[in-house]
Amino acid sequence: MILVEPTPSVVPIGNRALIARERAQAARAVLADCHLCAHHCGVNRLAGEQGLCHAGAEAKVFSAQLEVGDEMELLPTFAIALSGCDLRCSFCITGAESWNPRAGEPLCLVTLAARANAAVKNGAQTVMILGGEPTIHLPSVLEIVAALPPSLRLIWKTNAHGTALARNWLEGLFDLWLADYKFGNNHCAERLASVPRYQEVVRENLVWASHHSELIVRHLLMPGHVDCCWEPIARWLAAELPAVKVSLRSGFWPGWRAAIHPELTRSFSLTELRSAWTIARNYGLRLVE
Amino acid sequence: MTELLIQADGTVFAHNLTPALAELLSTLNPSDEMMKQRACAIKPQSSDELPART
Repeated sequence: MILVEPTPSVVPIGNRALIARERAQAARAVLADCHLCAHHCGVNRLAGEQGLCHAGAEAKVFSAQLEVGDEMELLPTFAIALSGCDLRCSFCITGAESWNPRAGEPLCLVTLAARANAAVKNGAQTVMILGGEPTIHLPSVLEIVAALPPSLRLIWKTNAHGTALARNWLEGLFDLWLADYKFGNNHCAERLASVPRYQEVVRENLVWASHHSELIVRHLLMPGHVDCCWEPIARWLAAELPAVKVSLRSGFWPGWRAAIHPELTRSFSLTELRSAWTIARNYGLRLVE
Repeated sequence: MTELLIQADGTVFAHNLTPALAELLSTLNPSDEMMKQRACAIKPQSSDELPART
């Protein structure tokens, strides 16, 4: 079987800032009837109404720094983290900021762009926009992209729970999507993150992203969830996205509110790690570090 | 800012890993090849050079 990687449709370098700026102006109006994530709350965020994410009209930045913890081919990256998220993962490693869209500092585009430039001069190879979940702040994201130098390699780090509307605004602006595939079944997704229809939404977004950008699918291995989550994910990736890069993360730590789930009160074991690698190998997945 | 979790068995988890912390952790455990690669990932650019989109 010959595997051919789809050609991503990234906009030409010189146009990215212009396109992002134009989209940002139009995208802000979308907040009046918010359908950026698959919860489809439909609230008017411009009028102060709040949906499940509790986000308002303006994004806040809770971290912006040079980092070397992500996938090796993206490093070093200047990571811009926006607070607030549409999921409620009890094990969230940035729970305090992800669950609170008012955490952090107000977004200042001039300062952020200057810091990104400085990070590049200090060795950053990419700029990554993440959260929480940045999709819920799409208008602000577009403003950030418009402010950044057009030649930068941009990474979109997402929970892949956005809508087709959100995807349309993002199309062509990011060089690579780093997308989470957290749960291999809807029961675990509802139980651990309070999110319904998880499989349907995430799979649709991953398939779309594979055709519109470079894509790395990331899965955080969780204790007690190799058979119910990782194996079905690996099986689906092998069948539907066999050429995609897969990042298997083994650094689960039992923080935030993980303790409400008995199986998440410990870190991932070596036995489970070996089992997870065997699954990946058996399905012929293209693992990246 | 990097967050560290140090378990009772000495395992160190790091989140939001900065270059400085990567270098420190690499020094503490020189046999960790992956951490060494992360610590060495930073290479300052010349003032006129930006990493290009491909």
